[in-house]
Amino acid sequence: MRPRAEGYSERLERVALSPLAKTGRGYKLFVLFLAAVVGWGLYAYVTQLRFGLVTTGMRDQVMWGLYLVNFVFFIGISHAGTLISAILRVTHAGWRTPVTRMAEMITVVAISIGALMPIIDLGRPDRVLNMVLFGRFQSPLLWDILSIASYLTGSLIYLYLPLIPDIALMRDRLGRGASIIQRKIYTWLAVGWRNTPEQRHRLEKAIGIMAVTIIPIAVSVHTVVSYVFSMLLRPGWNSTVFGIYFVIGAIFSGIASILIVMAIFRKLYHLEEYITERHFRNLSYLLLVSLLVYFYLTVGEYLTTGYKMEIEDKHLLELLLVGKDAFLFWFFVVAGMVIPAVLIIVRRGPAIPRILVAAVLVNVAMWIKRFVIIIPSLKVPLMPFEFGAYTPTWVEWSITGAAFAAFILIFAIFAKVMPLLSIWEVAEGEETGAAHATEASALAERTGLSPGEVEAAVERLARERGRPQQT
Amino acid sequence: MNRLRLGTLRMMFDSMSETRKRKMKVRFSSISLRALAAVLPVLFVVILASAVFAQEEVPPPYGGLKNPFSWDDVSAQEAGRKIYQQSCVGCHGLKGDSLPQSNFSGADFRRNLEEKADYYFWVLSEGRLNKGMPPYKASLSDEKRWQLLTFLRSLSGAPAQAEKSPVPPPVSAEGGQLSLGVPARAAAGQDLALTAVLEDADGRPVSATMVKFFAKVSFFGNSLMEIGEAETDAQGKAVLTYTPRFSGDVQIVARYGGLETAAPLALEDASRPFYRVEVGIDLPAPGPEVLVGTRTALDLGEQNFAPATALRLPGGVLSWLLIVAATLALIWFTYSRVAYQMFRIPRASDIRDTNTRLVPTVAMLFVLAMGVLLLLMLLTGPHSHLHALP
Repeated sequence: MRPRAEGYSERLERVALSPLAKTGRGYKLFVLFLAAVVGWGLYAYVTQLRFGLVTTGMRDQVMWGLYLVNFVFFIGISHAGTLISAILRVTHAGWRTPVTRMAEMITVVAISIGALMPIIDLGRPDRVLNMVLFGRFQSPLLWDILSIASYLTGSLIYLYLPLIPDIALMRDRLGRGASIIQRKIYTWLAVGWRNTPEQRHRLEKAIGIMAVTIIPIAVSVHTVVSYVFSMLLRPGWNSTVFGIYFVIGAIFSGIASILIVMAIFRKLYHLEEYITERHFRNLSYLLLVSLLVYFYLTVGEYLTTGYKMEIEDKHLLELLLVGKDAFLFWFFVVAGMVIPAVLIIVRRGPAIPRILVAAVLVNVAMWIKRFVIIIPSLKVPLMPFEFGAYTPTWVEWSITGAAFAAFILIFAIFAKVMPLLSIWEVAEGEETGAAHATEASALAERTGLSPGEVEAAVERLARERGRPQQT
Repeated sequence: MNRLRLGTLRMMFDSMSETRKRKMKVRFSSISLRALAAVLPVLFVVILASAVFAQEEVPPPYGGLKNPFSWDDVSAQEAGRKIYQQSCVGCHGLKGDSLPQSNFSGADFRRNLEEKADYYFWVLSEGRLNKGMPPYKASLSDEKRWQLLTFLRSLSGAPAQAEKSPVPPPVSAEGGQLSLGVPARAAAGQDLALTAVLEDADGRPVSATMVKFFAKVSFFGNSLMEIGEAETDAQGKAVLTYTPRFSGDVQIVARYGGLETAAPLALEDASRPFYRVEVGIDLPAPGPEVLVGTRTALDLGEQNFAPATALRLPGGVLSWLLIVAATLALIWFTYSRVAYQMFRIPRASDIRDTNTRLVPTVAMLFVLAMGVLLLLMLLTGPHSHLHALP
């Protein structure tokens, strides 16, 4: 241990671990409230099981509803995590360290909730077993099962690996009051971590493999989710661009989700020192890039469809642009693309609230966009009959509410048992930064540069050597 | 008239979008189904109710509407005729007389239509779904619906149209005779020969003339589906070799000009699949061509309907089932390798009371078990079996 970094890392530990030690009244009430919402959702689900899918708004024409919207949405924000944290890790973006843990957690929780949605969508959930026993691999649904199972397992591993040193830290910091079981669990999970060079080597190798592996898997997951739609000859779904369209959409809403979670825990856990405006700014630029790509793909998609304008496409575009679903569509365009872009580009006012508003708008609009993708396409009749209709029932809204509540609930509980900052990685980054600072000040002394220029030099050095130094 | 009817079926098919055609070609490959497919996108049934319904009160906004076109407006009739051929002919027939409860060719229809145009406009707009008549207000504008009604009036009581055949029948066949011979026994999927003999009024054979063959198929209404044509030889005999893909009692019709003759043909069910679903691309492959799916995927359904689609793949290791399986195996192998890295994190010498390798061991076993399970799920599914194609 370097004595200079001591003060910093002690404070870091205190800040990162203190929320785990004390549990406030507000937190308990909040958890209780979330549990109540989830309970209400369970009641709604039992109602659906008892009376069948007739309790939902889904009928023979519009046979997919909110559940599938939630499915795509949650699988989408699950990309936040693993994909973004893996990309930042592979590209050695040094500023990522305080953000990755939250991002990976979003992934694991979101994908778990998302994977439940198609099962809830079934009138006979017990028949899911048939997919395992008699699944036909020609079906995109089976591809979904394969890729989501792979992604969930991979994200769990990828979340767990960087946790090991932090769990070891918690194991060592357990007070006298800790029960034997608690001690045992932390010891098990910490895998005998003592931070020796050999252990570090093993761990870093494992993390390196996972970071590279998880990227194509994450991409494949959302591609396959899009195939559930684009393998069908329906207006609006019959598209070759759907794979990448969904992947970009997922990254888009995923980054927005990270921004929201970051803002919340920064405030609640007093992480201002570690999650700085810079993190928000950098992520908002990533958000802007994905927004622009998504915008480009959206324009391309509707332009090519509208140019050829087969009769069903005409019906669909009429629904979207001027018809019954026009409000939702234009809400997506304005609130999900135009306003967030303006908020990010025009840098007026305090940065964090501005970016947070953009992120919330993006997530709301992206949920609606999934609705716009799924429902209107089903409304368009493929035979000369009237248009289908879909109005979600209280059962569907309740289960949707419960899904979001469950997402927050699991997150809240997780944030109580594991540190939300990757302590060791942040500390490592700081050590590297401090080393650079020493170098830079030595440089400043020799060259006689101003402090501002020294700071810039530190930044540059940190960027150039973004990868944490090996011990 | 006959040519016109056939042409209509063709036109309907041609007027379909490319996608739809492609879709159909993939889905239905038997001829009967293709005819069905041709009629599908076009509409089903226009059952304009006659006297019984005519008493009904026409609700707003239809009550009291008048035809903006003159009943004798030729251009409106022509526009209506086109719509009729696209949307109505499948059920109502060319002359509008296919459905007895809504016979457009009867003389009273013309009177009813003129008196109660608003009623017919209402039925056309809102449909009579319980009778199979779909509503058209979404797919046809007001103007088009009136044009259609204007055309319908011209159907009723109009003097029988002269046969408009682009190839006038040779003089020798006029007043002649067309006879049709069908085999006594035939089964779906087996080649059979349909023989038509064309003679002129004096009983002499007419040679070098095309005779068309039709099968009468039933889809909502009855319609004739062309199954082929053959040229008469010196004996006036036209032989069409034909492989029926459906079974049951059908009516075979031979036609030449105004001559028409029909013969019943009983087709037995096929005992084995006699055609395969045209799905996929016939890729060159070293091994035998295989079908991925159950054997039952090759069996025909009821009434010899096409079996469920199954992927046709190049055989051997090129099969993309194996590519998917290999990718999956690679992913889960990587996971187990990572779990092994965890396992290899050296033990801490000072922790003795707890097995610190428990979590990595469990992780490794779980990953391996899940990987094997998913692979088995992929490879042992009943639809993953490879079968050589017949």
